[in-house]
Amino acid sequence: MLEDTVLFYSGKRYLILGASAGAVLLGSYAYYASDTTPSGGTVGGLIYGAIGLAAILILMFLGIRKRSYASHLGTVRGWVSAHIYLGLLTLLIIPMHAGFHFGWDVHTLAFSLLVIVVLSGLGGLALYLTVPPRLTKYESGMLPDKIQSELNRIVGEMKPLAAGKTGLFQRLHFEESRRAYAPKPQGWRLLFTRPNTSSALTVRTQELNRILPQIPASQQEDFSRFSALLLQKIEMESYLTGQMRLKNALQAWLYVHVPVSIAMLAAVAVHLLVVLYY
Amino acid sequence: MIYDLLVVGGGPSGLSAAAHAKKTGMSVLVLDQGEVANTIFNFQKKKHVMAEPGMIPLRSDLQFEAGTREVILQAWHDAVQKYQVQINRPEAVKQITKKDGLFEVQSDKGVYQAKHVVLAIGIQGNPNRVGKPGEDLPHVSYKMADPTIYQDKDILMIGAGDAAIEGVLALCDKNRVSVLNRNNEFFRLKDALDRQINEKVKARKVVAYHSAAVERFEPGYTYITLPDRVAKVKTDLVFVRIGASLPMAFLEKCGVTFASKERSALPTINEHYESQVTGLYVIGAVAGYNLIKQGMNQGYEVVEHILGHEIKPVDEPLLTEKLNFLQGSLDERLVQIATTIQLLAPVQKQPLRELVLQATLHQMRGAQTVYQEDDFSDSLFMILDGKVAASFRAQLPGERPILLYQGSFFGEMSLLSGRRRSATITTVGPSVLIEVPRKAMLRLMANEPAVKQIVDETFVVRALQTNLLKDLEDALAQELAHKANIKSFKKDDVIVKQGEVGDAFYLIRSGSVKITKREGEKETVVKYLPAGQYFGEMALLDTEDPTRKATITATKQTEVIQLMKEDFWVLLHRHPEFEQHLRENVQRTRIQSQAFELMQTGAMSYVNKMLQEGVFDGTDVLLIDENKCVRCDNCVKACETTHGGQTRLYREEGILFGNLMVPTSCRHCENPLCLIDCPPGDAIQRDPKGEVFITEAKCIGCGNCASNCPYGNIFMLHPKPQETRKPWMRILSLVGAGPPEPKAEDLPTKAVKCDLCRNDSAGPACVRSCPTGAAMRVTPEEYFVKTGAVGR
Repeated sequence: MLEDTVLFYSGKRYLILGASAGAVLLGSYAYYASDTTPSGGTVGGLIYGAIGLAAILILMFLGIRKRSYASHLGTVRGWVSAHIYLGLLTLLIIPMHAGFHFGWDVHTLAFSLLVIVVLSGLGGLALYLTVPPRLTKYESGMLPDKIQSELNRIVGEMKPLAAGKTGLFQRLHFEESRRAYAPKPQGWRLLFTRPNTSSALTVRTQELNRILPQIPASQQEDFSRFSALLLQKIEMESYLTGQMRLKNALQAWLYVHVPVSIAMLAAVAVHLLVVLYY
Repeated sequence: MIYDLLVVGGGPSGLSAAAHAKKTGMSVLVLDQGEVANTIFNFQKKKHVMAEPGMIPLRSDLQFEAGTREVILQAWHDAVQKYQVQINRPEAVKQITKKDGLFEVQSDKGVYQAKHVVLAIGIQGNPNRVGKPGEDLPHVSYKMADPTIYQDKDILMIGAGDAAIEGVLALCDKNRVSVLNRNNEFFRLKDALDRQINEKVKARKVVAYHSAAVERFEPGYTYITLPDRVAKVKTDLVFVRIGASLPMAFLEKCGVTFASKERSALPTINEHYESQVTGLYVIGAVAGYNLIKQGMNQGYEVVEHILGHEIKPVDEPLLTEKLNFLQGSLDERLVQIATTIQLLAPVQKQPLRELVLQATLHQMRGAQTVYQEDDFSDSLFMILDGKVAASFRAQLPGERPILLYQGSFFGEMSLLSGRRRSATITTVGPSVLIEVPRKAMLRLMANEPAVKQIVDETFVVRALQTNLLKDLEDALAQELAHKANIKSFKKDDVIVKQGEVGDAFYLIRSGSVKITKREGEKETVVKYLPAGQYFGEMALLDTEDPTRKATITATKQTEVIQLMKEDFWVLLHRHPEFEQHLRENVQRTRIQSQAFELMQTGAMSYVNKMLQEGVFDGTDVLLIDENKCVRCDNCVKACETTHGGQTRLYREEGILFGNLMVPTSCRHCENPLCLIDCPPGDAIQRDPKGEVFITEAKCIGCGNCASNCPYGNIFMLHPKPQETRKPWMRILSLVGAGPPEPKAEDLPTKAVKCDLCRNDSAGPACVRSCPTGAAMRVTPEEYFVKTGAVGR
């Protein structure tokens, strides 16, 4: 199933390139460590550092390339594919640069931030591969742009049904419309709401069935039409929440990935300043 | 007093004659029974009036350029003032007689004498009438100037032509409108109108009475005869729009003669538009010239003729210039063309002039490419001199290209089928080619049956040779072509029905078909065949069971070449190797279709749905694999950024087929309906690579293309206004002083659609900006052929 994804872009081009670069790096490190004590200050260490810095700058450039819509510099898809493998390689290059020495300083801080960035990136990749098919399933129920107009139609049809009816009926409609206008969970809060269409529907169906006998017989026909609309509305709202939740998930990881990578770049700058200036 | 010139009819033709006569010092009187330029006056407000044909210059003292009704009427009004043309109106002319070289014109108000008379009465002054009791009641009207003044009325429109339906659509939002149609469905309407009216009827905004006729009118009610009953319909107002015709009786009374007794016959006039009565001229629509500019030029030319000036037809210099490489007078040059090119031999002088006027002449020096295989052009080429070679990509190495010589023509395949060019044409040595645009060619074919027959038969011959059998000899191909029928089918028409006995073989000439099989209650789509493919051979080859094994239905407007069983067998007997090939194919198809029946769900059912939604009409469709799409909207942002801040792609608004999303974005259809009705003619067009694009500078914002697009992929938007203010003015306007910010709403809307980023060599920005490869631009056929769902 990974066949046609970004991972295997253009006949696994970047996978092969990344793997061979990793092998070359490992080989070179074995040679370098065999005759010097590895550290950031040696010639070898500085070369690894330079490669690492170049890699980080290329990785950061994706953000710019992605927004340069008229650019002819490869396709965004190719860039993303390369971004993944190059990102993974930094986890090798930077420790090589430091000779696998870590401490409680700004240098290791920069590296730890890098680790967070790479891990969040991997998380994002996992989401990119798994979430879209789930979203598609929701969308085959109904596309988001159609849900809103459909909901408006339902609300519009419910109103005349409840008008001039018994108090209980009207109260139900009032509560429902209040709920319709109540603020819905949005943004990150959505990540923690678990829509459960079938159980929500069961609960509401039971509730409506309980109310039905209390409605005067002459209004029961309208009430059951009202109930049907109500349940339809709930189903659609849960589609909407579900879709929004998954869409948010597709973006949520970026809120870690991007700011932390900027922080990492700042830490790298401090690291460079500290090391090269002093 | 005796007028030098009396003009009957104050339309553009008449006014043009009057103004020029006045300018040259004649005494002139214009009589009109209604408004000045009544026909244009009766157009809907702000209607855009075209100045066709564009290449012909205007010869008139009146101004006329394409523009809104208001601007044009004002210009004419000003000219009438300037030249002080005397117009008496409303005054209806009853009779024109000639006595002792002088005309006596009798109107309902008086009698005038004139040396010359120009009849420029148009045909709108003579609307066809219903001819039923009560039609003279005040609420029954033959014109409607401004539909917006009516509201909350019960209105009946009689007639279902373009003009009537335009009226209905303009009225139906504010009124209760019904329409009376003589036919059993809406018929011969422009596509956009047809779709709109059917939508309104479906939404019950308009009531349509089909196969209906008026029985009688009463105040407040109309009695309508329907096939099964007489209906009494409440009507506050009745509008009648059932066309107009030549006022034959009046013209005959004036001494004008006609070519025949037919209703459609035109007055007999000479090249100076003079009738059999010397000094009586007939110009404009009443003489059969429907274009405003033609009529205006004729008015001018008639006056020049009266003054004794020799004046050449307005297109003469244009045509002479165009044919500058030929010798002799223009007539001799035209004759030379008609005798060289057999196809044009049956064409009369006037239509030939018009054809050449619209054609482009190509003088090719050496070996030059005329068009490439797979190009999307649809004009017809005729070889006036030299020769060309046709080559195909699928050609075997060493195979000789086909040569076409002086006098023959090519390009009829794309002309008739609307599909890509089937061969690459290259000139061999110096040649002269005449390229006739599709519209002009179709017009000629409609008027000259002999030309149509030649083109059709040649088409069949070449279709048989390219699509069926390369080795088919010309003589047999021509024999078959002569016997073949060309049949056309509308969308969803059944061509062949499962279970019937097969009696013919079919080759798809244009459009496409689907093959469905019915088993019990279930009907499954087995295959989809585009133009160039054939079907129906299975039942003919199977002598034991000659019944059709599947149903074939047109999926859009489709034309097929039908070869009857006997003729088909003539072909097979001569070419047993072809029979062998067909039998092998049948065997393979059988196995395949069994496999398809097993996989009735999955890809095939989506193919069927996509067919219904017209996705297969597209040649370059944006598909998004929703299982890969991370909903980042980078495609939309890319479109927006590369197109001046207005996206032509709406990712979330589309149709979902399984995991394939067809978003709202142009599909670059095989037969682009959007091209049909563009008043400037080339504001929306398709380039040889198949891309349909709009040139903003040429777009007049009429919205025809947008309403013609069946898929809602063309948008009418206000263009982003240009910032003309200086920076300091902009700062001033922030605090409320200085000129206001230019508003987009002040600019007229323009049609906007996907242009496939045609100016960018790297291809569509949406696809290039997709981070996961979910977005792709494909030909649906190719996509599904790859996945194994369609094709033979």
